Amino acid sequence: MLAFSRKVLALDMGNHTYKIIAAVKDPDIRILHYGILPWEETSGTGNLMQFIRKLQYHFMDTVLSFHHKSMVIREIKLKGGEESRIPELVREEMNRYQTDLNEKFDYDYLLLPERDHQNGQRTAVTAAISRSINREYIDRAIRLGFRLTAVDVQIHAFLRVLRCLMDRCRELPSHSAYLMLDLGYDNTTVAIFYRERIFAPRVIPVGCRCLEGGSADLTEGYLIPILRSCSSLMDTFTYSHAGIPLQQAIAYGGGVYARGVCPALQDQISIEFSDMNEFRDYFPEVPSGMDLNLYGNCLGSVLWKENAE
Amino acid sequence: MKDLNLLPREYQGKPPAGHWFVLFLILCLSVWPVVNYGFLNPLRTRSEKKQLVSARAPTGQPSVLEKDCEAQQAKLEEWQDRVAAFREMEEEAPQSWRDRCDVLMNSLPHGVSIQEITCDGTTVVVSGSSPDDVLLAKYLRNLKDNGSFAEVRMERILYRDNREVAFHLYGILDFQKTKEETS
Repeated sequence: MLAFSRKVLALDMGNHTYKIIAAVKDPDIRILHYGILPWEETSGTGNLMQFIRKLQYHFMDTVLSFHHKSMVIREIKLKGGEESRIPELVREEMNRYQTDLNEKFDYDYLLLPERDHQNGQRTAVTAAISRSINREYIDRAIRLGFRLTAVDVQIHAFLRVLRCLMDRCRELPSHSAYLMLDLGYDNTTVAIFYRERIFAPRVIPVGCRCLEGGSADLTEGYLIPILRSCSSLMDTFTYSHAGIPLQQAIAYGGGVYARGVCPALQDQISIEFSDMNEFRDYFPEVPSGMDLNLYGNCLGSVLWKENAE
Repeated sequence: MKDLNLLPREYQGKPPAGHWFVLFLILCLSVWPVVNYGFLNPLRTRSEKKQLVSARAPTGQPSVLEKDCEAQQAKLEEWQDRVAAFREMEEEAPQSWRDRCDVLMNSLPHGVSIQEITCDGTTVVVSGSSPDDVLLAKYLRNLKDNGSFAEVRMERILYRDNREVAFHLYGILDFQKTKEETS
């Protein structure tokens, strides 16, 4: 039966390593392989291509995800009569970005199902990324022998994982908001998740790469901008969404393992702080050796659907 | 609702890669004999048979070619019968019998004599006398060695005084050899 099941491959092209998960979706997820490819190896071709061929990755539908500071995620509010004009409105919005930022963008949008209770407005979420950067990553993945079906937005990928976690974990109610910290190698992303939405995602251009020296000053230099952004984000969210509880912060990414980072964040952030591995019991389909902090985004891309319910 | 996809259109739905094409080709080539000999050929044969039956149905009689074939067959059989009759006549011709008589006579050792030759179809009975049984045995061997007879055997020997014997020989003619000699 496994041979006829739909196999998917999620590829997270990070700045430090590439993470890969091969899985079967039929419809429950069963992870077949997972692995981390060192960045140095991914820049070469010989061994990696053999590895990809050996595991037959080049036959699988691959969902690629990567993070870049040029990623823009915005919400567009639509009035009643505007729903039929969504493609046009999104194009206009993107044209504005392209003119303002003097850069071409690849973009996509999705229409959220729920309507605003007060005015009946619907919301379209748009994601755009620099065209040259997007194609650079895509071409790199194709050169490595992957067969791409989608380029996923990493923050949305993690939202899928979080949604899955909220369905399974009673301690994380779906009516609460959650602060998310993706502690990457070159960049850190902070955002607040609330129901199906991502509130004001911010990319901070510091990553755990700067901690490679290991001194206390470096840790401070790394943490200060992150903590400042988190505080500002939480304040803004509390102000604009009064009454919605924000009690939990969830961190993931390689930065979680940098010495002193998690305890410092735990002390400084006024809400409960956890990393993704603390919730691994809620993911029985994830193999015991698979680190959810490192594979969080990648696992989210496994959950990517062309036609989501 | 779908998930966001930033893969540009030009990268989506690309034509299948070379190896897929090769796989497809191999699959087609391996399936073709099965389809052809397993399904198409029987169907074709069946439809041809149907056509033949439908072509025959309006007349209800054999075709001109079949009639012609039957007539030819009948003629051939008739000719074969005639040839067989001629051969029979030839085998029973006086020349044939004279040759056989010559064989019977030429095979006689000195002193052995024949009193009577009786012929019945393919069987020849020779009666005679010999000065002794040694010469008679020689006569018997000579006839056998000649090969004109399929079988030669002594029917009866009657010893008289002074070692003389009277005999009755029994021979079956070998028609095969006779035919070969004739042809």
